[in-house]
Amino acid sequence: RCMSSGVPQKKGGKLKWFILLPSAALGGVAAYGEFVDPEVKKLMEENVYSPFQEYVYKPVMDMIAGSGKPAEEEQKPLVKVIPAKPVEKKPEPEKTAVKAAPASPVPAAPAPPQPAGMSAKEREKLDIEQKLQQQREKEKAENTALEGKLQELMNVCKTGLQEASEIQNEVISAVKKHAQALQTAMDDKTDILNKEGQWNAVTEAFQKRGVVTDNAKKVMDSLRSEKEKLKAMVEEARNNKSTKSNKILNQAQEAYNTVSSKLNAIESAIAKSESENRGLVKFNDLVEEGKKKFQKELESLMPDVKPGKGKKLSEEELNSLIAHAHRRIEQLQHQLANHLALEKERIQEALDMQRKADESVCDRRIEDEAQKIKNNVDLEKQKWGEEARVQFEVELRQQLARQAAAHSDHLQEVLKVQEQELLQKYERQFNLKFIEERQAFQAEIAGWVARLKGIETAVENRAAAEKIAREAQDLWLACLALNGTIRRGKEEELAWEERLKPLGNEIVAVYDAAGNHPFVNMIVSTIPEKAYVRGVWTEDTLRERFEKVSSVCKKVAAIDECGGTLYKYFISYLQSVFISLRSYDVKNLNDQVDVESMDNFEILANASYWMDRGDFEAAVRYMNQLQGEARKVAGDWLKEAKLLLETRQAAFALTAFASASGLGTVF
Amino acid sequence: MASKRSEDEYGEKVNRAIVDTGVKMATGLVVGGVFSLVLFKRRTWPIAFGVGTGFGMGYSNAENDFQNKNAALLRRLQVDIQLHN
Repeated sequence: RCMSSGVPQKKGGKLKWFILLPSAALGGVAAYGEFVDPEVKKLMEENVYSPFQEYVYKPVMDMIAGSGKPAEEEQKPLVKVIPAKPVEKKPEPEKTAVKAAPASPVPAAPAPPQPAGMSAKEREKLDIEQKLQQQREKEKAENTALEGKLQELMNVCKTGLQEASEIQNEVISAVKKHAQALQTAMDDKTDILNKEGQWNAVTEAFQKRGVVTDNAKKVMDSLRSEKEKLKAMVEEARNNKSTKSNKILNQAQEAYNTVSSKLNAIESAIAKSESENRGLVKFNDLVEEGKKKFQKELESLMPDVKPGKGKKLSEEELNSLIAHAHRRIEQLQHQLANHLALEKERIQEALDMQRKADESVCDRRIEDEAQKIKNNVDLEKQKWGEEARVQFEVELRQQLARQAAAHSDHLQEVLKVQEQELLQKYERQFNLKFIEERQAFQAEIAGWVARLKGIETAVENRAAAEKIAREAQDLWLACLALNGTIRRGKEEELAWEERLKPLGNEIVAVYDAAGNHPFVNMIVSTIPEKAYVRGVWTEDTLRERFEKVSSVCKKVAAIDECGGTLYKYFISYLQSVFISLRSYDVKNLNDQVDVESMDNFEILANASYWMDRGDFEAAVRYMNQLQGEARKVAGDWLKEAKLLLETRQAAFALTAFASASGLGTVF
Repeated sequence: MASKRSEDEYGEKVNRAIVDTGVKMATGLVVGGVFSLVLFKRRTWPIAFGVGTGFGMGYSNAENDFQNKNAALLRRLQVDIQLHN
């Protein structure tokens, strides 16, 4: 049938079950594991919770946190690096001997993982050590950096120096060449045709000289700057106390010194050569000047003519030229005369100038040398200072060691003495205390022993009382057994004679249970032997027997002990038929009885009456009064009855005794 | 014989008496009968005689059984002594 619900089923209706059911199952299992069964919880933890945490939760958290995580990771390498550094620090010179000691154990325990139970002091110490270590490391780093830099600089300086020296040579050679070229160009009159070539050579040489000089300048400048840098670095290093005492500073200083001196030497050499050749250059310049002047004059005179042209000069021009030339020559001769006149002065001036130049050069050299010496002296001073320091350190350490040794010896002695003292004190106190304790203990023990003894006696008495009670119980039980046997005999037998049970065992039991009590002994001795050996008739059987006995006695009641004829018997029988025992008045037990007056019938009547009433003893007493044949007839019965009565009496006496003695022990 | 009880003695005595008497009477009867047959030409008086003899013997036995002659003698003597004194 078609859907009548009205609500169309969604296609994705199953999806929610796919999500709900597993999550419900997981939740159920988790709750079960939480509250009911821990094993299930463990299983869940292994298989569900930890993979989830690893593969889902942590990556998500990392993505969200972003930078927070890397910092955490970076901290770890820093922590690990610190313990590794102390290995490199060993060549570092230590400040004091005290600080040397904590340095070695510290590398073993890097700072961050501090144990929880550390006191504040220990933590401080650790912090300080950490800081020291860090400082040392910083110094070390700086030193190494410094060393590196200085080494670099020194190398650079060295190479620069080499370069500079080379260049110096080049410069000097270039200058010389130039000078030579100039010289040849100016003085050499043989090769006039090649003057241009020579002048070209000169310019070439000049250019080359310029280039080389520039190069040299550059190199020297760079070298100077490097040298300055080195010096600055060395100064800085000296000022910075952490790197003050690095050996490399001395090396650097030396290198600086050499570099500066060499640089100065190079410069002075170059300057010297330059100054030497300056005169020549000046001369050249003057010549050039003169030439130019002449050129100008020529131009002014003859503006049209351009030198070097191939056109022939006109006469006028030539004449003017010659005139000019002559004029010029005169002028020059005049000048020369002047010059000759002033030659000396000029020479003096030149010498002065040269001297001045030489002096300046000399000064410079002296300055350089002075600087060099000063540097060397500084260096020496540094070296001596360091050596002195080192020695001082060594001596200080020795002294400290000695002091420490003395101190430790002293301490040891004092400690020994103190130890002895304390030991004595302790021994004394201990002995006192010990004696006290022992006394107290002994007193306690005595008290306890007394109590124990009391308890022992009480227990013994109790045991004795119990023993007596037990014995009384035994006796009582034995008596009870005896009574029982007397009352019942052998119950399983039917015939009266077989019911007899010898009382031997029971009586022996009673005898044993009583120990060796005289009363019991006496009573036991009264028990007739027949009871021991053969046993006694029980009262019940005797009662049953009594019927027959009584009837027979009644039949022969009238016959006396002589017996009688048959006739008498018959008459007696007849009499018994007509007499009823009930017709007699029965006497009370307490009345006095005149036995003689009673005839057998009366006796029998009484006996049977009392027998019927259960008073066995009364019956027996009466039966005992029978006379004649009746007596004979009842004889056996009587005997048995008497035996029973005797035995019973003894048994009752014993029971009474047992009860009495038992009763005594109960209270 | 079977019972040694004193009260049974009377009963046994009586039994014995009766049995004895009966036997004797029967024997008497038989002997009388024989005598009668043999000697006395079938007369009845030997049988009666025999029975009577038997009865008499039985009775006498019973009486002796029942009596206690020693005790009787003792009694007579005691009485005599008492009488004497």
